[in-house]
Amino acid sequence: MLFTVIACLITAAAVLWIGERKQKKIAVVDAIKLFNNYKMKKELEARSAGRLEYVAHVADSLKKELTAKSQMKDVPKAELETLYRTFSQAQAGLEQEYQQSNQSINEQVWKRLNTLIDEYGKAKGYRLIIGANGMGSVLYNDDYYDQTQALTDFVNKKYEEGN
Amino acid sequence: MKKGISLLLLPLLLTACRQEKDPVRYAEDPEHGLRKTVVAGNAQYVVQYKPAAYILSKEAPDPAEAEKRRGQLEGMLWFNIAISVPGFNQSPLRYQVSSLDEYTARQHYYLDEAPRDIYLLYGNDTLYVNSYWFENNQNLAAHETMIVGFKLPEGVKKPDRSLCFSFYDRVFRNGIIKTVISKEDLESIPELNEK
Repeated sequence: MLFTVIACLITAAAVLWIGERKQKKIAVVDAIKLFNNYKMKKELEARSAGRLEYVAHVADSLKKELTAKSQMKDVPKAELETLYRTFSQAQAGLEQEYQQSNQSINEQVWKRLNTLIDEYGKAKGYRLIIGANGMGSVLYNDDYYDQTQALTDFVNKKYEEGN
Repeated sequence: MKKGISLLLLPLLLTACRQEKDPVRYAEDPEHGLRKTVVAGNAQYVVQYKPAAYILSKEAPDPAEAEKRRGQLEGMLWFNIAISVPGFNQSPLRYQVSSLDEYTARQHYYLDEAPRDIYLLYGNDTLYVNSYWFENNQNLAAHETMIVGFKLPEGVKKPDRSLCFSFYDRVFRNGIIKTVISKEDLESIPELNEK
């Protein structure tokens, strides 16, 4: 009799415990890995790389010209100053373009990822998905809760096939 | 009673068969995989692959002209890309537009620049836009349509591989829009099987 009661209690506790776990399904995702491994991010970077390389090449050529002319004795000071201004403008333009490109890619990628993360969470029945970003919001997690690879596969499949 | 049911079912069956044979209905039915919808950010993109039979059916040319037109369509792949903003009942060009200049810039992009941001992967080949037309609805409809044509590799009359469509929409900045028309869905198009 006592054995039956104990067995029933253990079973009930197990059922409650499993139910509780189901209700509080949690996943942890490495946000940086997810972002960097999203195929669209790589493709957007490749698209902007050509333009950035061109701007960098222009700035580099001006720098070489400035270095060469500044070592010559017969180059007028005014010409060197004009060349320096042109180089500075090119350098500033490069930095600005690089920043704008990065910002634009970040915005576009997260706009798409946020929707897909929602979709993934709903499809898998998660109550909470925590984004670990190396800034201390998640101090430790083992593989049990880690869904980084599964989510990366999901977002890339959706991207390639059209969501 | 049984006769009555059969008589009732017969027209339904005939209608269903006719719908299956109608190239426009067939291609526009998302279940057949030739019409794909991609939602990205605020925008929705409906990519419609248009087989030759679809175009011929839409244009309804004179029977004498139909064969000539069919010949013209060989070796080409045609798509409609309809852009809209769900819940916004005006042209997407007007969505959150802040000035006339911005509206003009958007229009200019779709009229002239968008083809450079579209390509199609066909097996190992990358096909770039061969023909392009932007069908400006002048705000009469809540969508705008791009009509895009790609030339198949030399000697290929009809596609026999999957088509991977890609468009980087620089107006709405929602990233790259991709979708796939599978080889299986292309092979299932009734027109192709009749040959």
